[in-house]
Amino acid sequence: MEHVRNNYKAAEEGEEQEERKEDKPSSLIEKIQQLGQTNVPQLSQDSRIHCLTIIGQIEGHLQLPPQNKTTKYEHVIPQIVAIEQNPKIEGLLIILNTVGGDVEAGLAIAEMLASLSKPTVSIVLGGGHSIGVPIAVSADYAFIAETATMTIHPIRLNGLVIGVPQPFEYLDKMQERVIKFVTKHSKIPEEKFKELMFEKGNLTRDIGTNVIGHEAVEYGLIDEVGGIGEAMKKLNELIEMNKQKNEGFIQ
Amino acid sequence: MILYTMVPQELIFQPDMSEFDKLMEVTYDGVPLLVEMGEKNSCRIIRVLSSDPAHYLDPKYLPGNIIMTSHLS
Repeated sequence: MEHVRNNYKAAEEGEEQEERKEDKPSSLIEKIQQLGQTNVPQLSQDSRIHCLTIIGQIEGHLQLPPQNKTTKYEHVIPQIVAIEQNPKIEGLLIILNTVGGDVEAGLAIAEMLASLSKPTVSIVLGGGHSIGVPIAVSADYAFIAETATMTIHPIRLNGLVIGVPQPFEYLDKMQERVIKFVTKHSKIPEEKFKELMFEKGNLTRDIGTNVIGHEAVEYGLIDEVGGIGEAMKKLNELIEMNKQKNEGFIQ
Repeated sequence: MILYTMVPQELIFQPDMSEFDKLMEVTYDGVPLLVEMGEKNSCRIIRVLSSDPAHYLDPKYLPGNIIMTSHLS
């Protein structure tokens, strides 16, 4: 008899627990409704133009110490994906002030930006050196501030590559990828870009060229000299053109 | 001491791993932030990682602000 009663009790407790379980989510929903506070991002507040800042060093596979300012591809790439997917975002402004960094990470960001279906405009402020060059040219239209500089130089061995004869060919292939990307996405001829890349006497104890503002435009690397005002104007123009094109498709 | 090497500086003088643990990426009200964990469930905003320029204008997300970890998602 005792045994049966115990069983009955246990069953009762079980029921109570189930009730509590059911209670929990409903009370939470109540709280949310009452306070109207959730952590869901509000889409209505989205800006029409988003801005991507490529600053400091472009971080590759090696995590840099926290005092370094870095652009991490694991931050940037999901942002680019989100920008592509969000219908409320109509254009992207890319602001560069970078010393360069990891070739693969830089090219990954550049490729993502180049394949974005929305209008993109980039501005180089301060510096857009080494791997910053492909990122700058990846946009639909590129601007450079008058005082901004871009260093074009051959890619360097600055990581872990096994010291056997292959690295030379490997580096050459890697360099070819950068050259191909830059010449495809800007007006600079391949010969000119290579010439700048292997120029002697411009950089201290290194080969390459440092191009400043107008020079970058002269070589065809960048489209125009300008700042934020010109860049926003151009981006708005491109957005309008993109809208008209899309409307044309529907009709 | 001068080191003539092509090995990156970070690889030779590796930072203490605890340096990396202090910084965390969090989402606060749907805004991605880089924060430094402080005492007692609080953390300080180091950097806004959002691509929305409006988030940079909101005083709530100003770098240096202290936020409570209980509000983080």
